[in-house]
Amino acid sequence: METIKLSLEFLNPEECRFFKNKNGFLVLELNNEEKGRVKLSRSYPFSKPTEYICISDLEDKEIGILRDINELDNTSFELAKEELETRYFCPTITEIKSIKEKMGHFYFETKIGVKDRNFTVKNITRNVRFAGEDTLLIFDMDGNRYIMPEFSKTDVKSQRLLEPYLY
Amino acid sequence: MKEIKITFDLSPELELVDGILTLTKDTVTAEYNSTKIEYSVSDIEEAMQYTDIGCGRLELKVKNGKGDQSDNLPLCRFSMTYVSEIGEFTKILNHLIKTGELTDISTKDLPICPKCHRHLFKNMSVCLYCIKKSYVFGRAIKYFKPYLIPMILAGLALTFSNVLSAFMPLFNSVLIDDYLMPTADATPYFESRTTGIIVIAVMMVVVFALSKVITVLSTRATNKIGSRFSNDLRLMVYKKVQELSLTSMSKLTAGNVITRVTKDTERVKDFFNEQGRYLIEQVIMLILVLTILIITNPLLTLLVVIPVPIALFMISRFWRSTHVRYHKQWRVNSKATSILHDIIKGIRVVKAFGNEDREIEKFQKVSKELAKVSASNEKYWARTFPFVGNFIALSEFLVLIVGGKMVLDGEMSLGELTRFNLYLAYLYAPLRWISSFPRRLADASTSLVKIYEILDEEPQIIDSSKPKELNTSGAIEFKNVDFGYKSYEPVLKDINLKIEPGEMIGLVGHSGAGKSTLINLCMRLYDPTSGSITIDGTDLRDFEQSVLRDNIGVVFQETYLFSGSVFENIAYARPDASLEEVIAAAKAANAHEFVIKLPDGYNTTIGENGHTLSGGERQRISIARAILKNPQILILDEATSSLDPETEIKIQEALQRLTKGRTTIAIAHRLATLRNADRLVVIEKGHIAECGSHEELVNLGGIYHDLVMAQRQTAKLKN
Repeated sequence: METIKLSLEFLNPEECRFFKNKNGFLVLELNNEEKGRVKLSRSYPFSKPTEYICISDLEDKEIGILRDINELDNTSFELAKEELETRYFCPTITEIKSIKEKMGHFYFETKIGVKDRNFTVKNITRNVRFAGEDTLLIFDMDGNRYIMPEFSKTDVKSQRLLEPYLY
Repeated sequence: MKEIKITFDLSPELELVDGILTLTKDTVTAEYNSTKIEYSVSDIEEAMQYTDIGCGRLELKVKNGKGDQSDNLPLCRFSMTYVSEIGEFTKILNHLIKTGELTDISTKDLPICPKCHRHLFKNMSVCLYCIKKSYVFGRAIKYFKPYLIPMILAGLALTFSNVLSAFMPLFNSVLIDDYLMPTADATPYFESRTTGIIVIAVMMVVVFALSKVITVLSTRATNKIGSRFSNDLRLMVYKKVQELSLTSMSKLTAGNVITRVTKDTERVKDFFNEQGRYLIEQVIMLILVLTILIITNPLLTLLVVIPVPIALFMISRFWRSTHVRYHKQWRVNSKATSILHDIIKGIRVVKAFGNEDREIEKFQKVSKELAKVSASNEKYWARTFPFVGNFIALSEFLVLIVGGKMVLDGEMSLGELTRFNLYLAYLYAPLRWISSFPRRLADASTSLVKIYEILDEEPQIIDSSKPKELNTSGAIEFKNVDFGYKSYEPVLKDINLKIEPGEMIGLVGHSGAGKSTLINLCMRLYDPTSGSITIDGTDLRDFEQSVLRDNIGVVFQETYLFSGSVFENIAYARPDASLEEVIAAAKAANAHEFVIKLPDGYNTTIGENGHTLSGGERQRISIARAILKNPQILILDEATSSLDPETEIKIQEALQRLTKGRTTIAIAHRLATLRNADRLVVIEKGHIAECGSHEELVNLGGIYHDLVMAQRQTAKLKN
């Protein structure tokens, strides 16, 4: 019986180099060959944000997978990290100021850094949930996602306001 | 100079900013913080909106740019909150590039509350954040109008019954003061104390009985009114659900719609039926009892009234926190139930992978959590309710102390004190009811709003006011058709296709290329964003939907069988079909042979809770439906996928009979099943990439050629 190899073929980080073109788009150079504008996707966006990064062209054709962008040279790593962070917009909520329920929908008033951000959550049971032990995710009605990475360490008021909806 | 302005909220580094996009005839500008990016419209070929994860980008494709879009010009980034606004902006910019005309932004697709600037919920014309309860209930009263007078009468009857029972303490006080322990200034009506006691006792029985009879009659009447009202409401919502187009329906899950038709309408009915009646009854009782108390003794009444506001406040706070706590318990409970449901349903998989222990552990964890939450809630209830619920009874003790002293001092008779105490009990029911009223009001308004959400949905596929007759020969034409389920995500682009009467077209392409969308448009389940689809030269929008669908037969990959007999399921296509016609259609569909083997033949109950049919059998029922309908245009959506070869041959045979002489559009992943097609159309990324006969396309060496080769390889591997 032939055993199926359960290992991935990764791109060699030494052969990958990222740079930005004149318009600020990320371009890949693989083995000294320019592959054009590329898109980076996370396999495990919450648990492993820098590992198992899939590189594809804009037509979604996969070029390869990087085991960890930390293995890239410094410049490429910084560019890849920046690209991932700007492709995945999931701002961190620093404070929950209030949660009001009206007509079955939940209106959140929060702070993201220094900016106030108000949003509405429909079906709170489904849209406020833990991803991992202490990382809380909130999805609003427009399709935005927000994160509270260390929920147990956020201020007491925010925890108290969210507590009834955490199941 | 005319300019279009909209806002966006992210910098290129994804910091939250207050940005403005401006479009004039000559330039497009993005401004945020102190940065300004400006491009000339004449340099742009197309504006392109992309969606990332939780955000999006607007880029401008330059004229004569590279194919990989690496020389696109980045204009702005935005969170999903602004996706519709940017979509509208992109449309206007592209229109400007194509035609040179700068149109206004359509506010129809950008519903924003003018007061709080929040996005309005889809289908809602009012902002749920700013909406007043008076609007919600004012509108509902309109539906309740036919029942309003009977309901008020029933409420008044109930009040009358309560007023009657309010006489009881009065009888008690007369009984004590005039006959049992006559006071010095007593003026008894009867000289004999025994007679007096008997007469008062009889009067008490009569009044009590009368009050109860009226209560029963009034409750029966309100229940009847309630059932009729809920029936009307349910039908109204259900009718609207049936009228809605697929676009509107796809926004809601089946469970969601079912809840609205059943549970929400029931909750609204309960509110109007129960609370409406109580509102009349309890408010009148409250006024009446308070008046009696004040007349009996103003000082004691004051003692009773003082703790009321505190008690009301405490009760309402208590209900609020109880609601939050029990809602949490409900959520943990539903999580436990869903885990249980998953495990029981997938028990074969659990056992096959030997994961019993893991599943037990998973359930144990949530079950423990449920026990913890419910124990905490029970504790809270046991600790708080006796205190909060009986706080108001404090006044009884105050009344006893002060009133007792008044009796001893001769300022009040014993009968009066007893009467006062008895009336006090009458006060509690309305007060408790008032404290829970806001919660009930909130629940009912939530349900009402969910119902309005359906009732207010405008059907997006609208019949023409002057529909044209359709007696089709089967000629179909797609002219410059563009379509996207979301305005900013085109699925089909510039589709041009002419299908001759009786021609069979095979649609081929990768998954997600847009094949199913094309046939959805053909059935007018959606309307194209631009361009037109015609039958015999007339736009689909000019026909009545029912007439159009009478002329189109469909065989889907997944055949949905309704609960009912085989006969009813075949005759679903034409309810007036005779017994003979149904058998003939089943024969032509090769379905008769298995139906006749069933003990109950065409009377066999199938669908949910009925006899289970295999995939191939269901498919043949579906073909029989289409044959019975005898349409000029036929759509086959993956009609022969996932069947065993023998069944497939039977179905192919049936389909050949069906498609003969009819215009047919067929989608199939297995290219061999399209061998009878006159022409094959290859759809790739929303465009028509190739079109021609099997031989022509194979010789072309393009997408179709690759697909054929890939399938041959797969077939070889299987063999």
